[in-house]
Amino acid sequence: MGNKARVALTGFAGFDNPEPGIGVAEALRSGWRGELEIDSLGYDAWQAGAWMHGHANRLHIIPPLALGAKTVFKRILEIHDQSPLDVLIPNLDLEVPVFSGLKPQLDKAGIQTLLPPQKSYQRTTKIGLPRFCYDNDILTPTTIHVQNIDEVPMYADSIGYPVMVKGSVAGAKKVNNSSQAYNDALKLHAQWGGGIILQNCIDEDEYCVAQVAREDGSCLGMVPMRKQGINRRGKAVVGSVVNAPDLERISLEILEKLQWRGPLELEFMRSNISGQFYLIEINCRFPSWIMLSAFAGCNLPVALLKEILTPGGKRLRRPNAGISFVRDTHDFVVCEKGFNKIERFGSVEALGSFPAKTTRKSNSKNKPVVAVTGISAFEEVLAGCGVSQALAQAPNRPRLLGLVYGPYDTSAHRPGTFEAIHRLPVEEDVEGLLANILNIQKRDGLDVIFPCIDFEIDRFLEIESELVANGVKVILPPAKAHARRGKFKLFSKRNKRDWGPLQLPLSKVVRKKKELKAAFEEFGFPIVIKGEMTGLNIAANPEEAKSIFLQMRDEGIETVLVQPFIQGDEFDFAAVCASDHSIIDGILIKKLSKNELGKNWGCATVNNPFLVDAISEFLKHLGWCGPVEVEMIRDVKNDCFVVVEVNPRFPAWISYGVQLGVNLPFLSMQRALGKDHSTSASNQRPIYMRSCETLMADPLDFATIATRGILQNGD
Amino acid sequence: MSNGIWRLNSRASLREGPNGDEGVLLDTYTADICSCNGTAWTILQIIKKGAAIKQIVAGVRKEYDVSMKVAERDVLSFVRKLKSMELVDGQ
Repeated sequence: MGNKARVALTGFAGFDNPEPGIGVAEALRSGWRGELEIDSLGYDAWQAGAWMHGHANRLHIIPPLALGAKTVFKRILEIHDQSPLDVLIPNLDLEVPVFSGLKPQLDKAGIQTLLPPQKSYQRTTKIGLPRFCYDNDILTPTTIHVQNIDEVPMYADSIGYPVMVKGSVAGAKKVNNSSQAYNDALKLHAQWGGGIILQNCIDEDEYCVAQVAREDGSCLGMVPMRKQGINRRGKAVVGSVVNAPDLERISLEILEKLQWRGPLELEFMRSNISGQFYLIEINCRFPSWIMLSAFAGCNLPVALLKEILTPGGKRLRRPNAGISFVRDTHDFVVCEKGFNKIERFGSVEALGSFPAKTTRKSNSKNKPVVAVTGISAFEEVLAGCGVSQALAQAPNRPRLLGLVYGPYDTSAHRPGTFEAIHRLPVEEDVEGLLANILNIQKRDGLDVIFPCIDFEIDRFLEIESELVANGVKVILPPAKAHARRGKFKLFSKRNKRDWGPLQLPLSKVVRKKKELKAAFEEFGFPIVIKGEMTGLNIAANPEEAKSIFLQMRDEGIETVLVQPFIQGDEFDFAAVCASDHSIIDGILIKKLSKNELGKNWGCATVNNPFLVDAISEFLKHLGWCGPVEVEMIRDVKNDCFVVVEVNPRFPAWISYGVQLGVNLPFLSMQRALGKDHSTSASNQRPIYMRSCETLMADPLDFATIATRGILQNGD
Repeated sequence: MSNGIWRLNSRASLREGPNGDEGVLLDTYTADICSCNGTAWTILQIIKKGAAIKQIVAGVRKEYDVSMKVAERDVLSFVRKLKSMELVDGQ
């Protein structure tokens, strides 16, 4: 066999909650010595992590597991017959028992695996875990499996709040009252079936351990990690390898009691009071952060592959404690032909994707210095990620500075993009912001700033004239136009007229419960409830609407906008407007793939001159100038494009324009500097995609950003 | 506070900053990060090799123009802090 291997991996989708196959592929690519071919197996064409350049050699669509193991095996054999697979590593929870059950057939076909026996797998399910812990004296929080969703409030009350509501297979939400518990239980039960799990919330530090067990159940290697940066949806975006002998001992005991084979992830909470570790979950596959094992010198996916091909390998050395990861995102395009091929034929060579051409960084003093805010994918992908990628790909790229609000702003850790990172003050004091930016200008020189987060726009508008007086151009819309696009004003009567194919939705501004009731009595259900700056929720009935309204109030959102929910495809228009409010250039896209927040993770351009003309008239009416994003939904009932939002900045997908010959951030920069720049749209119509990417980070960088406020690239 | 030798234990890891006169103390058990100023960094460099309180105080006074009283107070306070974080062992 030598060092040549052809491996089939699953789990390349998942948006900002990436499936583990992406990390497994990254780790195999970084550590495998020898020829390695990776085939991705997914359930549709949107396997973004597999399309990402350098991950998979081939992509295949396999039938859903619900069609039965036989059907899945038949498709695997088809792929195997075309070009033989050596190894199969499933990376999704529901796949593990299916492929484990298929082991005799896979063995016979010459496809090797290392997977747990069914009995061991059953112990790790969310439903089986409490019993396993009880039988083996393993500390775990109080856990109740509730089959009848109507009983959820009663059991949640008995555990106390906050309580974790978990789906029978995946998904979890921390809730603070019985009404939230019930609503989230309904959603999770609808998604996964099998009732839901309520778990006492031990609100302390979270630790995870990734392991690989040999065929005989012994441990081949393990990597313990503490989650350091957890976003509002409970996902770890930043984590570090730890040196915790007691956690390692507990993990080894659990592995032995499970009689496991193959990859595994244990999730723990550590009580700050007792210091004890509580096992909260076992995942029967590698975690999505597994690339950290490669960064830390203990590459578990490589160890697994070696063990499958040549069993009996030596136990891996301990990982280097302190090595950290940050989960960032990467934008790229896939050629339309390749994308169509997998949809129509089920398989494709991954030649259709091509990497973004980042131009070489230039330290020339003649280059303009451009600072970009919103360079983070921590909570959601902010526009600065796309703006900085677009500027970095410009043929005459400027010198880039990243402006962050904290050490966990993810793109700050992307190598090769920014010359320096500067931390901006989080306080609302605009004087402090102005002083900070002028200091940056003194230190690094500064010609242009791109504010890319909605909440910053007002602050930057306040200091714009002083920045301009100091030679710093700011890419902003005019203050009056910005005020008109605010959600509460945008949908007012003043803006309602015949805009052709463009339409403004019915809307009500709601401050009290009574007004909420009046709104849903007028609109019916479902309705959308939005905050002025953040928050977007869909309610299907009065109870849910009231619960969302109260929850948003708890989060400090006093006034909300209520609109009827509109069903239809989503479209997005990004443009730059001139000072006479005409559109200089723009890109109209249709969203093809969205995450659970409805954000664009895959799209294609569309040609609709009538719509663009209508948007152009609307923007003129608003008095727009500078960058803008207009989000729309095409109402299936009347075929109109209903405006959902007008944003005073570029969208996060803006680097897509580079591949279309329309680099709008670069165009804005050039115009701000008084230089001519023309765009030349290409005839290519590639598909835009975004996938997560694990970056290595140094704790020293976190500390430097947090305390000194400046991180020089190369520090 | 023990008069014996104080030494950083295996949980503690030091990362030197770009200028060499300050850095980061990492608790590898919890992944907690402590940014250290010049004085703390000087003390950590001495404790890394193992030293008695008297030696640490002398080391600080060699680097900084401070009175014995101030140096002693700072060293004891910092070593106590390290002890509470379980990052040093004293004999």
